[in-house]
Amino acid sequence: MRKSKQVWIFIYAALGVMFVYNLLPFFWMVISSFKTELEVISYPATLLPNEFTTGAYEKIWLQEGFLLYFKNSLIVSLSTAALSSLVGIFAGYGFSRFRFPGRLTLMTAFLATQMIPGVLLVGPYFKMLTIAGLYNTLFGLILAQTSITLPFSVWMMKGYMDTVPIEIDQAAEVDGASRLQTMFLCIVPLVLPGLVATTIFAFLLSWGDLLWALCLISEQSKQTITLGITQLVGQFRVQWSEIMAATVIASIIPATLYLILQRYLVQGFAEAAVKE
Amino acid sequence: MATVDVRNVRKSFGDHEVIHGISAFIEDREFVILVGPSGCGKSTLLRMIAGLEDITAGEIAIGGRVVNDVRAKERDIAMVFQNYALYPHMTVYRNMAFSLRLKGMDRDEIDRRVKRAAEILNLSDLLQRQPRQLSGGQRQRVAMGRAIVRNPQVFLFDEPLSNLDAKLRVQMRSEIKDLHQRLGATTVYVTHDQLEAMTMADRIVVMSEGYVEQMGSPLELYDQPVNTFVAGFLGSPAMNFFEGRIGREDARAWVDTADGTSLPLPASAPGNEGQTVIYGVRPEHIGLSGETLAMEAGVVVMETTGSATQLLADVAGTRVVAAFNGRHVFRPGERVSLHPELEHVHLFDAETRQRL
Repeated sequence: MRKSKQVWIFIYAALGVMFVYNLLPFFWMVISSFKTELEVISYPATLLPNEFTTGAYEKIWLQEGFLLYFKNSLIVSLSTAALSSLVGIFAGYGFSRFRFPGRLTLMTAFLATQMIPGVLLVGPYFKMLTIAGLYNTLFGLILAQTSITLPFSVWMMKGYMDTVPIEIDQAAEVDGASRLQTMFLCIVPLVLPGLVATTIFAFLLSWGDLLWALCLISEQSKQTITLGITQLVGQFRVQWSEIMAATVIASIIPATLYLILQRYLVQGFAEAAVKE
Repeated sequence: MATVDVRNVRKSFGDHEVIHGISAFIEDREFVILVGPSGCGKSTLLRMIAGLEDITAGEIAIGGRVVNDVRAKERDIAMVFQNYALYPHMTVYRNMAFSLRLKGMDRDEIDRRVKRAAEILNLSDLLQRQPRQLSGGQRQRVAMGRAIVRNPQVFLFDEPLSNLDAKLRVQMRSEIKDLHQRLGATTVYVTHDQLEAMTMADRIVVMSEGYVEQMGSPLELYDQPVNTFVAGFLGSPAMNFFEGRIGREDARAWVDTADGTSLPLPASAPGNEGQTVIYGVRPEHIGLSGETLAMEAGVVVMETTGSATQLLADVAGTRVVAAFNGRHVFRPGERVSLHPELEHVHLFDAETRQRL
């Protein structure tokens, strides 16, 4: 049925409202990051900067040690994403291909961990990492964040691998492939969109984390970018333009990742939705 | 190439036994087809030969070596799957070269083997294509190519034609048969299609509910089925069966059915007078004229294929199928006399359903 003009106007108006609602904060963030410290808190607020300045960027990058925070965040997020994807591949393959006692219980347990709020787990993690001598280390933070992203990665990878016919494994076995060869040469290439989606998800979760970094890192040289941003909120003053510049920088990596890999991401989630 | 010896093999899934002590010996270079209805255990048996399924009891030997505990990749077999199981992300060339690369064979040898197999299977122009760019028949040929390049001791086929349309199936049937004749490879082939079994096999193994019903050449099974299952399973349209008692007088013999029809028997037919039997006759062994007793039938449906005519008729409440060469015209409701050919009548014991 053809839609009338009024319906189209309504649809576009609704989309326009949603567009503004979603993008206004980003717009405001970018614009504010180029304002002077005075202008950013002036009232009434200016839409575009009267005096365009990159001072906030220079300050946080050169003076506040954001380069280090950025590097720490990259190390933690990339490692978390890599680790949870790698373990996700193995565990997902195991759950998908083998039938063993306790399989269902284990899978349900994995899922159940997603229902516990992170804030409840921070205490025990703090204790465990301290005992293991991993408190205030990037490695400890990576382990903690991986434990949060892993259940999702495992379930996602299992779902994708379930869509690959078991005969592919059997053909590879008859062809002389070992389990590992079968997994990495025959199965993983077929679930690549899913793997990319899962990896990005884990990366983004880790990149945006504040809670775990706040509780498990104490030294400034090991802080991540989210922790760095919170430090710009002082007891007596909030450095808005610097906060905005820092958030713009912090958004660059996830935004770029999304733009480059969105094809896989959409394909990956769509497959997970329609298959199995 | 090699022999395949299946000795008293059993398979259970939990407490449920699905293969009940099967034995079969497959000669070197022989083309053997395992045939039977769905769930009869034929694919499970093939998968046990392949090493994809554990053997609960008994032994399987390939080329004289017991392979019960040998992994699939070390059995020197190649398998073609029902859904082809090609690696979708690899080109035809890489699909065929995969096993050779895993073996660490040098590139020139791989290239020579892949190209030779591609030539045999008419795939030379498709080597750089992805499986999704191929038709069903071409995919099936790639799956066979993947098997050929390895030069294995035994080829295993698991219902390889069931995903193809009827016309392509006929074509691929002759291609597989031709391939077997050219390579002379020991082949075990699973199908539920009795026509495939009849046309392709050197020997057929008919299976039902985890047992072997009969093993022999296609014509042996067709002419001398050991029981009503084999008699009814092989042949299309299927054999007609009537239950009745044997009657004898002087040099004459016949079977009287409960509904009063008398069916002709040769005087030399086995069985005692009064014995309850199953009388079997194939549709193509029924004539429209003859000197023997005839079944008086009413035409229900007539089907013609151009070269033959098939008739579904009603004989005192029992449905009978008859097939005649050439063209005949029957009208529904018309009365016809159907004459079973005496030399092609089969008799089975009504209780054991075994051939008399």
